[in-house]
Amino acid sequence: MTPNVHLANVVELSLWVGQLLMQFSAESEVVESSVHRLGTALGADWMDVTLTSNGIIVSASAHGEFRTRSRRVIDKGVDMAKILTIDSLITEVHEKHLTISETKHRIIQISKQGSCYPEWVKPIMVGAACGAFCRMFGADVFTSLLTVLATTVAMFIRHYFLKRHYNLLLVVVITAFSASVILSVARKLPLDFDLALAQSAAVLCLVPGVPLINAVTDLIKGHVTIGLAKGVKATMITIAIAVGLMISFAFAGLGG
Amino acid sequence: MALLQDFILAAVAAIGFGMLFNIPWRFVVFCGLIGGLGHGLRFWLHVNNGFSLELATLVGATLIGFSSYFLGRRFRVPQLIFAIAAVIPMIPGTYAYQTMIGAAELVSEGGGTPEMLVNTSVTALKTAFIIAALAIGVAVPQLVLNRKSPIV
Repeated sequence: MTPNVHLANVVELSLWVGQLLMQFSAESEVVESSVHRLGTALGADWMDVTLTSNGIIVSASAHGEFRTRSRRVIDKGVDMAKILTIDSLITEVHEKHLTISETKHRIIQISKQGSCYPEWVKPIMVGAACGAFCRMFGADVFTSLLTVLATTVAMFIRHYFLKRHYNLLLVVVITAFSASVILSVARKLPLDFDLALAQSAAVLCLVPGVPLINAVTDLIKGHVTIGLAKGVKATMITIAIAVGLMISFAFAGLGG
Repeated sequence: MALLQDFILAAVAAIGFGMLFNIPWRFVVFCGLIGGLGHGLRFWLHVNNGFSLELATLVGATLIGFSSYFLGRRFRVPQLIFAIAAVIPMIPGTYAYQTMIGAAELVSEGGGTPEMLVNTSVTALKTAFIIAALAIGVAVPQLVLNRKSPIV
């Protein structure tokens, strides 16, 4: 292989890995060091990585030659299992000196890798988590159980709309609205529970915890623009939660 | 007793969100453990010892930071696998959207009073400080133990 063709492959693979890591919400520091580790393991002398809020640019250089490419990044939600396998793949490339084609094959496998848990388990577990929050806020067991129920249904609704590619903010509004409305309706049935506590715990499943933490982590470690972009995005989602709640309050006010 | 309950509830929350984030089962159990420990420490400091919520969060998150750092070393995986799900129970979600609702109520009829403005600003600042405390706490071990010259 001529050096330049080889460099093109190195850039392609490390760019791909960087894109996957960004898509699955890794912090910028991890993305940069992973791309650098993979590129140098595959034979580049040096890698330069530039991250923007929705794109990644990678330059590889070796023997006085260099190649640069950029790629767009779409947010695909948090997926730690993929970040984990990518990390172990890079370690393997380092230690076992995998070839370009072997590495490429493995990356294709990773991007097709499914979820660790069946799709229906996740809403129930998140429901349980929000029930735990509700109990933590001092609600009784019955209120917490209703919160589990409302959150689980809301998470199924969220999954339904996300799968059909609705705008993320719209989905958050709909999910917060439905969680809150389910509880308001249950209160009018009439079941005796603490409505305000249940509603505030049920919408916690939507709070963008990972982007919020990543935003500050990026800011601390010097990735200021990406940190700000993530922070703004997380704030928008929080506003969407509040909008969904307020619409449901307005509806609950109808007819007393 | 209250402390034990807090530990268990926080562990359930961390495991629930860990599964949403698709963390493999053998790791998600550790997320629950250190998430529960961190939240329990925050609870103990804040409720039993009168620490402010922000400072208690910083200490709790630092515990999570160090535990996830050493777990990451032990299993040879990135630290964030353990840390991200473990801090989720401490995220000030309620404060966050109360800020937004407060902002909306400021412009509603009968709103716009000075107390409302103060309350909304206080919740907004509390949210920001707690999140900053969480992120700093988690980053502490890397900033202290793992210093290196920038490679990229």
